[in-house]
Formats: sequence, structure tokens, C-alpha cells
Amino acid sequence: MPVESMPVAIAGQFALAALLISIILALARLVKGPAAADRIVALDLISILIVAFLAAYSIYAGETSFLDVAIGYALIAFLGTAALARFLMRSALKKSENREKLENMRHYE
Amino acid sequence: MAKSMSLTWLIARIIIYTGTWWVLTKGAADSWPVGIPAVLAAIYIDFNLFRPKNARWSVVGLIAFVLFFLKYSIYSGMDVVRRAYDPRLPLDPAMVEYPLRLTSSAARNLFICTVSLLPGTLSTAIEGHKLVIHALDVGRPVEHELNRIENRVAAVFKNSVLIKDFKTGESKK
Amino acid sequence: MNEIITAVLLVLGSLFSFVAALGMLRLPDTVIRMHAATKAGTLGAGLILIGEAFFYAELGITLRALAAITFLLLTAPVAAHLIGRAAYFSNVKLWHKTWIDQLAERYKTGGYFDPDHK
Repeated sequence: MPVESMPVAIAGQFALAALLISIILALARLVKGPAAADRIVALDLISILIVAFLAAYSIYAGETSFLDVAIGYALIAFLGTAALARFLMRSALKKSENREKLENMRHYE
Repeated sequence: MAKSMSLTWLIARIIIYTGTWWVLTKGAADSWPVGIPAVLAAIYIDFNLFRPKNARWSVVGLIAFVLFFLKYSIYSGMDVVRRAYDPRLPLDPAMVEYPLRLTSSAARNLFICTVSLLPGTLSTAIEGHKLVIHALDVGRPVEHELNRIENRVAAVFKNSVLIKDFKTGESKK
Repeated sequence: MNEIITAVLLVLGSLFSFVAALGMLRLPDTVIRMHAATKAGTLGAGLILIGEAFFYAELGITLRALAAITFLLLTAPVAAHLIGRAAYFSNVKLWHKTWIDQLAERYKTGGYFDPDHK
């Protein structure tokens, strides 16, 4: 399954291993993060790391269709992050003291 | 801003979308029954979402901006490396308010995205014409650097950006 | 020659992504972690995508890789902006050494712009 050329195969294995460790580290922040915003930031980073993983695997396996998967995944993951951030803001605005902050900000969307 | 469709805009869009479809399908002849409606739909959506105003791009400004952006992107990556690995964590962060000098919304979008990707600054909120930026190190001259970035963004657009001086209230280009 | 470039870009890109994830654990604040994710994470993924464009050296792959990079560069700052605003409204405490002079007298409620956080 890996490509024929030696430097790319070694670099590809290294990249895939490093990206896997990075995803695990970001998962640690996802579990640990004291605020909900920390978890959303961790999810955002995980989606970027998964796009990188898909691109690296596309090189390592010599299969170009994984790049299309990466593009599609980046689109959907951004929608997910935006929806989560909006959900967090709406649930925070339900408390009345936060609505004062909202009126203080003159420009709202 | 009036939505005026000029002929050059239409021809440019047709060429771009048809070319993109042709490259993506590697010139397969049986993909055009799907391709032509897709190109037409893309042109229609493009016209309705992005008002085709007479935005002049300056090619020299664009190339200079892309090179500047690439160089500082690498710097920002290395900056994060330095901050994450140093056990003393030499951070001195601050929330800075920055009055925007660009007025057109496209230029402002480009500026905000660039600010977020460049070392040491992340744009957090917008109020009116002020941008709230979280800067990682107030030891550096943040406002001066932001001014320089704004000048470079203004160099990309030729005549649709008006830079106003808030203190004197007059516009200088 | 293309293979050497691709190998170098793969290693660099994965190292930058690793630093972004390491920063997620070590950096002391929500907004500072967003700095790491937006800058280093996007740069790492972008380098790997450029490496892919060099490896295949076809026009279709290069166009798709450039489209993916442009999309990442446009959406990562917007996501950081949205999360920053949501964090502000949900009263996330900033790192205790943050300076918030200019905004302290304008926002009287707690959270981001708490005047006690000096």
C-alpha cells in the first residue's frame, strides 16, 4: 500500500504517527477543558488535524481520492464548529446578566 | 451597492467555472450534462451572494500581499512553537481595541482573517468600526504592526477602499 | 526531486500540527489556545496539502489542494472569532496576567473584561 519512493514512505509514516499523537493530545484537552469553550476549541483543532491526516494518508497510500474526502470533511467540520459556537452563545444569552453585555456591544451580527 | 452585471464579469465567471469543472473531471465528455447546470448554478449563486461591484484588484498588491502572508505565516507557526515549548511561557497578553481604517467589507474581511493568522494576534470581536484583538505580547508595538498590515491589505484593492483618519475626520488614500 | 520536497513538507507539517496540539495542553488560557490552533494547526495542514500538490504534480490535484488550503485559511479565523465571542458571553475567565485596560471601564459585568483581572 505505501508508495514506492523511500523518502516519502518514511516521511509519511512519521507524519501519520505525529498527527495521531496530536489528535490524542487534543482529545485530552477535550476531556479536561474546564469550560465549554475549551472543548469547542479542541474540536476545531481535531477537525484541522483530521484534514491534515487525510492529506498525509493520501500521499502515503498513493490514492488521490482521499483529498476529496479531506475537502468535504473540512466543509462539514467547519459547519459543526460554527453551530456549536452559536449554540454555546445562545445558551449563555439565556441568562439575563449576559444580555446586558449584549446590549453593550453595539454591533451584533 | 447596485448589482450590476457587466459583460467582463460574466465572461470571467464562465471561464473560471467551466475551467474548474473541466480540470476536476479531467475533461470527461459525459460529465457535461451535470457540468453545465452546475456552472450555471454557480454563476447564479455567485451573482446573488457577492454583489459584483467594480472592485479593482491590483495585481502587484495581490502578489506582494501573498508573499508577505506566506512569510509571516511561517513566522507565526514558529512563534507558536517557541511559546509552547518554553517552560517559562513568556507571554504578556492583552485585549486591545483597534479602530479599523479600512471601510469596504471585503477589505475588512481580508484584514480580520489575516490578523488572526499572523503571529501574536487573534481577532475576537467586532463592534462598529472597532476590532477587539487579543494580542499575545504587548511588549511589541501592536498598533503599528496592525497599521502596516492594513496598508498591505489596502494595496490589494485599488479604488474601493477609503482609509479615513479618525482624528482629523478626513479621508486619505 | 519532488519526492524530497514532499517528504520535507510532510515532516514539517506534522511537526507544526504536533506543536499546535501540545500547545492545547500547555497554554494557560482558552483564547491563547485558540491562537495555537488557528496559527500552527492551519499552517501544518497547509504544508501537508502543498506537499501533496508537489507529490502528484497534476493540475487537478494541485487545484484541489489549493482549494482545500484556501478554505482552511478562510474558515479557521472565522471559527476562532465565533468561539471567542461565545466564550466572552459565557463568562470564560482569562489568564490572570492579561491586561484589559482599555475595556475595563466599559464593560461592568464579569468574565472577559473583568476589571479585577489585572
